[in-house]
Amino acid sequence: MMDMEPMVPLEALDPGTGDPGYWSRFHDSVMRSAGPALALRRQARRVTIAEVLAAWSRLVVPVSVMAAALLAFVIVTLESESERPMPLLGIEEFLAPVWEDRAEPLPAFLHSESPPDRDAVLFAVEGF
Amino acid sequence: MSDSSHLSDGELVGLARSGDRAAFATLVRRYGRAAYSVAYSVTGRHEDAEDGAQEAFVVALQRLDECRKPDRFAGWFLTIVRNRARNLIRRERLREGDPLPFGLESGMDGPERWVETVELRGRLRAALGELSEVQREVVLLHDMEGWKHREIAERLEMPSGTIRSHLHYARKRLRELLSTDAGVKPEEKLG
Repeated sequence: MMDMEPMVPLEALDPGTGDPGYWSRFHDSVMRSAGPALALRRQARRVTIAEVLAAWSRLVVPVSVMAAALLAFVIVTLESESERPMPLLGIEEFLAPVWEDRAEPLPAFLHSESPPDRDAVLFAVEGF
Repeated sequence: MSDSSHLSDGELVGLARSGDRAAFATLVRRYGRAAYSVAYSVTGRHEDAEDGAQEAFVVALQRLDECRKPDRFAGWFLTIVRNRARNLIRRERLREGDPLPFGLESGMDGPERWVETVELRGRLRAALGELSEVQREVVLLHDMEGWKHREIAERLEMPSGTIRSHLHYARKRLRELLSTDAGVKPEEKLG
């Protein structure tokens, strides 16, 4: 079986043979070389988060300002409305425009060609 | 620094994408030796293998967003290693050849042992040079790094039977070459 074949002694090719610190130095050397690339990746990650927050604030701040301005306008408007005195109307003044709108002046009524009914006559008289 | 050695490749890649140093360090520890082996199988030289493996890690980090299947990081990464190693060879060929031998590292044992190691490395390197690139890669990952057939198959994205076949022929060829080369026994180890 092939698995039972004796291994070829290739340890001599392992630079760690006879030099126990070799792989540690190799590791350190790779990590030194990789330092800038790792730092760039960390920085890119931070920038991404900052960009997300910035983008979020770019949307939220104007909307908040607009909402605050709108709310302020509404409050000021309501306050000015509440400070204005309500006009006092008598019952006749209150109803008069209604009667005036609905009732035809008596001369117009008298010259009308359509035959008057009882309600219309009463209405015209009252309105006049 | 948090311990991320228990995390899967996919999880580590996700963290490394956001610049997590510990996650990337774990990937380096997990695949550093394999990267060296693959680069060595291409270049056949320690210095180039070391440079290729190290460069490949940095390139992989820069291109990490292109790794579409993070759980299959190993296969993706070892392809980068292979390509970097090939680029190094092309660059070397453009320069004046300066065939430095293996093993000028500091911290080696005594001079006799050093000579022995350098000699053995020279023979192994010559023997490996007789294999195809993929055979070198498989035999180095299996016999030097200790990866299992299944791991090599998954990470190189090759059928397990193909891996076994490459390993079988690579070992057979290496034994032939080493047994006829200055009386070196294949089982000889640097005890």
